[in-house]
Amino acid sequence: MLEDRLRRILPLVSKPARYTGHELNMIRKPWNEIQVRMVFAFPDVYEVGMSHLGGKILYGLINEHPDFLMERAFAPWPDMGKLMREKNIPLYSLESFRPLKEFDVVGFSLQYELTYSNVLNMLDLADIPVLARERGEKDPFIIAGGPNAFNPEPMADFIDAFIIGDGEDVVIELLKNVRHNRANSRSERLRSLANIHGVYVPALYRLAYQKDGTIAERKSLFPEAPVRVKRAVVSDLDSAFYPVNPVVPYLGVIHDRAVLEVMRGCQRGCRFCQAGIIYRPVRERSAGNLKQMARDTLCSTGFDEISLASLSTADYSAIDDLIKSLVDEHGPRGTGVALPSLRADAFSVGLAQEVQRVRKTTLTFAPEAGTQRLRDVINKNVTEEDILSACTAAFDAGWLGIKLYFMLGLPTETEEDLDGIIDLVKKIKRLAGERCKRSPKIHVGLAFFVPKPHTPFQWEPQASQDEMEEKKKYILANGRIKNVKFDFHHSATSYLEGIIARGDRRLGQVILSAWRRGAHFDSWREHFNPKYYNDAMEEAGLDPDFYVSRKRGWDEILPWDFVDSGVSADFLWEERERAYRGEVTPDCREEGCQDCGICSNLGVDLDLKGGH
Amino acid sequence: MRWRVQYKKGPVIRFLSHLDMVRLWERTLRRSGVTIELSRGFNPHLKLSLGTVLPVGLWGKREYLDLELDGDWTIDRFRSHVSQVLPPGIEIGNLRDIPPKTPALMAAINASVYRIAIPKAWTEAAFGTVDGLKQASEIIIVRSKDKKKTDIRPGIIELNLIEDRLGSELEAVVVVGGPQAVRFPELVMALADFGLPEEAMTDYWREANYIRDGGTFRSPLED
Ligand code: SF4
Repeated sequence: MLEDRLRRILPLVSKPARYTGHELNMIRKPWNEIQVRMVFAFPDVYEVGMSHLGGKILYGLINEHPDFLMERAFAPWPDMGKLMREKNIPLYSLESFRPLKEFDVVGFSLQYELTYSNVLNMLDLADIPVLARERGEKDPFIIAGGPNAFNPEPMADFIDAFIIGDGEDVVIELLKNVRHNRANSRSERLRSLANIHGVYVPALYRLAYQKDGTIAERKSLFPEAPVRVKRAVVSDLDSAFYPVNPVVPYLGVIHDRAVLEVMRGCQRGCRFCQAGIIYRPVRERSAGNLKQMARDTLCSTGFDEISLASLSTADYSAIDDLIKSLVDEHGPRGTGVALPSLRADAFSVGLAQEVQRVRKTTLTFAPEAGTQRLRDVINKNVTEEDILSACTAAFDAGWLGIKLYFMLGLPTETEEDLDGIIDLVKKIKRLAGERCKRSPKIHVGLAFFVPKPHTPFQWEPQASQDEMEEKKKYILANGRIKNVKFDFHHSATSYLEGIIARGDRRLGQVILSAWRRGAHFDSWREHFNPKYYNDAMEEAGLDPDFYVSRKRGWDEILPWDFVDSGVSADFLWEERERAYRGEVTPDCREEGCQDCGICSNLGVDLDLKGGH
Repeated sequence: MRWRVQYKKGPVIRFLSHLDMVRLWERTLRRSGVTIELSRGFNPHLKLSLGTVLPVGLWGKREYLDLELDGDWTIDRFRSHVSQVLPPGIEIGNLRDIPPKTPALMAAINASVYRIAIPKAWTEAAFGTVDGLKQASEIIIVRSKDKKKTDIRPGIIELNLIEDRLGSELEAVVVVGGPQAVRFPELVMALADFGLPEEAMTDYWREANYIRDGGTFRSPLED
């Protein structure tokens, strides 16, 4: 029925295939034979959500369970959202075209602060109360996971339960718990969820604030609610579930290829990087399994490219062998191998060259900072020599394009560091002139640094918007280089990201009021209006600079302190001190344990298939 | 070896664009294990080409695809490989090998047949619309792409209304490609101007594609 009504409105919207499901490998289980039904809700448009690895894993994992099912829903693009409201069509799942309200659990993936308003919008489109405390006995549980659950507080008003850490085991536990407690009241059921390792139920705590706005006290109101919530972790990734028959979108999506997660975690130890902490320690899959996964995935999907996904794929201990055999096996049929962001060193270029046997791609390097001094501050262990020799190798091998990523506004940054970026780009440009017949495209991406929870820089101030704009102007004025394109992140976006990233519970009212004013799709420049948030902050009596520009002290209770990522606060603080002293910290895979505390705290170990 | 395949694009995938359909076929063929020739260049892709663009929103009963096979394949073996891996909504019809010099589908197909399902309540009106259009010496619509007023009468080859138990089906045979081409949305506009609005259409699809030579129509699979 709903499908019939959709046929009439879909000709009126852009990219209607976002809303019609029926993709290859879609799983639709018999609704009435299933005990607990969950829908995976991604707070961004279909093409973005369908590129997300975590969602593919959970979809396969949950649907493999005989008693559970998982379907999918994405944020409808504004044209569709508007029509759905006009025609009274509730947000529905793409498998069985059922309203989200009919599911037992709605699970949001929180990847990025600027998608939060879409979470509210999707709940509202689904006719589910956006505020957790207003939900009734019959409403589904709204849960959320993903990296941003490591500071869940800004979303605490809207989410019934957060999953913190690797979701594979927790989500199954959670669905079993829901099944078991069906007969109980909603508040009893919520309390029971809090017993699960890796689950955080925000309604079970009360916060008190000091006059200066910092947290005075965080109180657990029920015995089920642990004072600190420890992150869940899959200790043996190699034997963990992996989806070799993912849904294949018809539409071109962002990552339109077979994805192999070669490992989880990275311990290079870049001090700005949250992923480097919250996915530690490195756990690898064996090359043998990966090769089989590649075969199976290509066979079930028909993709023509395999992407080796991880935070730092060149660090995979058997990378040479893996790439070579994938290219040998699948290359003759025109199937390529893609490597996401590489380290700027000759080894990585060698790997990329292996991949080039099938297709020419753009090489991407992220030196992050323009001078050695600043790279030492952030513990980016790559030298100018590394970068230049990597570029030389790339140009000699005939690469057509190079992308370089830098960050602006890192702690201790001065004009010299900005000059350093420009100088480095100029040197690379000169190299290109010497080495290449046709000048390759050089593209420079500049992001503004946003300090993140659970990193050594979690206490540091972020650059103000004016400062960001000044840095941008400086680079543009001094960095005019022919055929080089500088691309800057939007400063207003980075500023809002900064507010929410280190925000507390009080930001809930800001997000709510901004959404009511019209905020949605904030991560899309054409839809982002910072005024909604400025007005909402003012209405709530909150000062954005309190969150963004303030230096926090060691004694302050940070809103995310209760989330136990495994890392010790002492380690983070010591790393912060070392940063200011310009001292680097080696990779624990090579130089032995650096005492970050994660392995012993979580009871896991480095898992390197090729040995240390 | 060059082959031509007839297929159905079913209603469940009616909103796929031409590009989506190309992608769908590339992946289907890769899954099937049928060996297709690869193009040269930096980004090799399978050598295949689809017939005239089917507008987004329409399903198609008899659509066509040309491909270049690598190695020896019989029709039966091809069919059994491909039919195991077809995505929802796709069915394979007839297929055959064609001489290497056969003109491409895009260039060869010059007439399409569209069908529109009309409920009982509107059938009376639909008869009037068909008569009106047939008698009109010109049918002026505003083309969506350039907002130009255009007469689409020369591009309408035939119009019929076929009554059935549930109502009726309006059949329109129109010119595809070239200056007289009539796009499906233009046809819908003309029908609305002559008394049959879009809400009177419960379904629409492309019934067939032809290579038309004067008064004769032959299917792309015929010699
Ligand atoms: S505890 Fe030691 S070995 Fe484990 S991730 Fe931390 S530094 Fe590395």
